[in-house]
Amino acid sequence: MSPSLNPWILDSGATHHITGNKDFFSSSITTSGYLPSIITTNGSETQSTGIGTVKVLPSLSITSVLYVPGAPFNLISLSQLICSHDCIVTFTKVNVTLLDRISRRQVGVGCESNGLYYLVNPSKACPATNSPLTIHAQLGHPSLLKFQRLVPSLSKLSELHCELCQLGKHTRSHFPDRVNKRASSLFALVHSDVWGPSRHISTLDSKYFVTFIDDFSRCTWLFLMKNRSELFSIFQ
Amino acid sequence: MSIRSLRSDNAKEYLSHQFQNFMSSNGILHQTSCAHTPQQNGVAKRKTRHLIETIRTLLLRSNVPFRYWGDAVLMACYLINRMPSSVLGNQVPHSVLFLIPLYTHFHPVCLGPHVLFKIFLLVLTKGLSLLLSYSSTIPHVS
Repeated sequence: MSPSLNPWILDSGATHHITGNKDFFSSSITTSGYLPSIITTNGSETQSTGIGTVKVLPSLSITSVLYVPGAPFNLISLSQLICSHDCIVTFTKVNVTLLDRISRRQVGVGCESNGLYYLVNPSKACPATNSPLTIHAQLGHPSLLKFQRLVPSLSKLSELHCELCQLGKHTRSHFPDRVNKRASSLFALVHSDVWGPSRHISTLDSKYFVTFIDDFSRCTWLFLMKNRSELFSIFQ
Repeated sequence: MSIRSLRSDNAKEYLSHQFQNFMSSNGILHQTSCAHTPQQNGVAKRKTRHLIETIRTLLLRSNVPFRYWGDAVLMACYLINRMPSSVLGNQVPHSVLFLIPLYTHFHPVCLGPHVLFKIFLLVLTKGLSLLLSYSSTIPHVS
């Protein structure tokens, strides 16, 4: 892979920004003056041949980038970056964000890939760094239709499995399975419920029925009622 | 043997003076559910659902008009009392209560509930007593 295609790697182990691609430089490279030499991990020393400014993102340009011909990677030195831009860098498992320390505005974002944090272009960054669910949450859990209107790049998404959306529709939590234990003897506890009125009046002119269930034996007694007030005489 | 406690919802008929006086004079504890919490009367509600579903099935299977639901529900109750219950470890409620073995008067082969129900209706239309048809006389008809 040619260095020009390589994205910028955020590197805390580098003291200077380094690139091997001349095309990155927005202004002309200064070749005179002090040019530090680079010591690579195997101890060998490479001389940088120029220094200049690179616009790594539309919103972020870094100064004093060393040009090292043949360098396979484009490295952003974190110490240099933090020093020159006064920003907060937050690393998470999947991505990295660069925030301006004072204004708290996002300067840049990056994503993790194969153990390295790469800086990504924000115009493409949103869908790449954030999962659909994260964007969905950030937008205040809109419906799938509205969500796809807002984020056209996700218009192919067929469904959103947002558990929180489902929970939000629940008005109350589930009822505990069993409040108390079963009765230990016959008729210690009797459950009762009146059902009705029925839409159809029965042949015996009843519209209601009452059930009495013995908790121990689960035997059910059922009585048809014409009127709710009959309950007492039945119970007697 | 008498009832020690009764669990019901807050329906007006359970809370009438007459009813409450009867309860207290007989020493029956009345446990009512919290307002708007029918779940606390779950056992009774679940049984009602079982009954309603059974009678709907019975009526549909026998092509009987819905005004016979009253008969069907008594029938369903009779049958459910004699069905093994998972809560009881597949014992039969009726035999747990009366300590007598069951299925003595169920026809062993082909007498499904809908057949029983039709027989019952037959008995009914011939002017026999309603409750009589739920007793052990049914199998003799078959």
